[in-house]
Amino acid sequence: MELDDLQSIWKKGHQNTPQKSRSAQEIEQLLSKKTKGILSNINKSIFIEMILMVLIAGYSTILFYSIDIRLSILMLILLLVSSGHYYIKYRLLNYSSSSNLKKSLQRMIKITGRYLYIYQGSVWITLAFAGWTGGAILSEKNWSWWFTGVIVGAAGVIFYLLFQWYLEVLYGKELKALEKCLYELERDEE
Amino acid sequence: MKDEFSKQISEHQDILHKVCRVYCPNPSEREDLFQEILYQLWKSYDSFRGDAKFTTWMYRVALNTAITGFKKFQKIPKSKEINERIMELPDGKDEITEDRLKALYTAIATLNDIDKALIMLHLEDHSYQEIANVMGITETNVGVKLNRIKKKLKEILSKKEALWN
Repeated sequence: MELDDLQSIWKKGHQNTPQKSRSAQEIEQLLSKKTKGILSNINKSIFIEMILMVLIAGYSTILFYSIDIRLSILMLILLLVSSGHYYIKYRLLNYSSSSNLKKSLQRMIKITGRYLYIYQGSVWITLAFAGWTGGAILSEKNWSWWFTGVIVGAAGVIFYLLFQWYLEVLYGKELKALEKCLYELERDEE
Repeated sequence: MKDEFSKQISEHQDILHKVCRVYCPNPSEREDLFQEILYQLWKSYDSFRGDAKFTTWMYRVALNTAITGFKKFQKIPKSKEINERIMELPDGKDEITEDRLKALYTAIATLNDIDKALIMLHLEDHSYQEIANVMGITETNVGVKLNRIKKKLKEILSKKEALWN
């Protein structure tokens, strides 16, 4: 079987089985529906999530300020991290490109990679600060240093592993798939 | 502007249907991809300045959307399923043509995302230069890849070719 045969199957097949045809008016209606549809709902969800996060973290910052200023700073860091997270998430979901596939893939990989990099960095900073704060608070309770260390360390490891898993599920697989596509595209290139 | 856009899309909508069918094996989810591509086309319409053909620009946006933004709907059928689908060939002449097309789509579904785009553009009679332009690779690379895809498709389809003759 040659490519000509495949082309013949392709052309004849599509002539025999015409697709559902939409008029210009239907296209326009579909577009209006779509614009107000899925993507705008996603954007609305991101916006609501962001507002909730800002409110909770903002409230916690004020609340913890009277209890312990270190917890208040931790909440402030979380607030900054989550704001960055939602900004990049919005950019990723609303990315649109009419450039060639290679450029689009490179750009998507760059945005997603940068997002993961910033996110992981923020997690490390937050963890370090949380460990320090937790340790300081627990030591005030006159617990032995090793017991405090074990509790803080274990909490840190569990939190970090959960976060890594969360990132992998959300964006890691997507990034790998995009990188694989770019590899396939560039393979055989001289 | 929206009128003009809708008119042009309506005229060339077969491109969108083909991209959706290649990248979305599940018919119930195909409509979502169609709408997503349509939306991305509208968002990018400002960037279309006429330096490329309208259809080439449509392919670019459609493939970018299907490959980079629609991963959750891309499921590769298992080889057993592919064989079963190709075996299900009826006797009627038109049905044979239709099922040959189905078999071709099923075979294409086993390819990776990049190869799917390449073979589709080739089957649509685009030149190596046009394909290279849409994909962002050299014409030589297009040729090398198409030869490999051809071998793979030949391997899958030739097993059942006797049934079509």
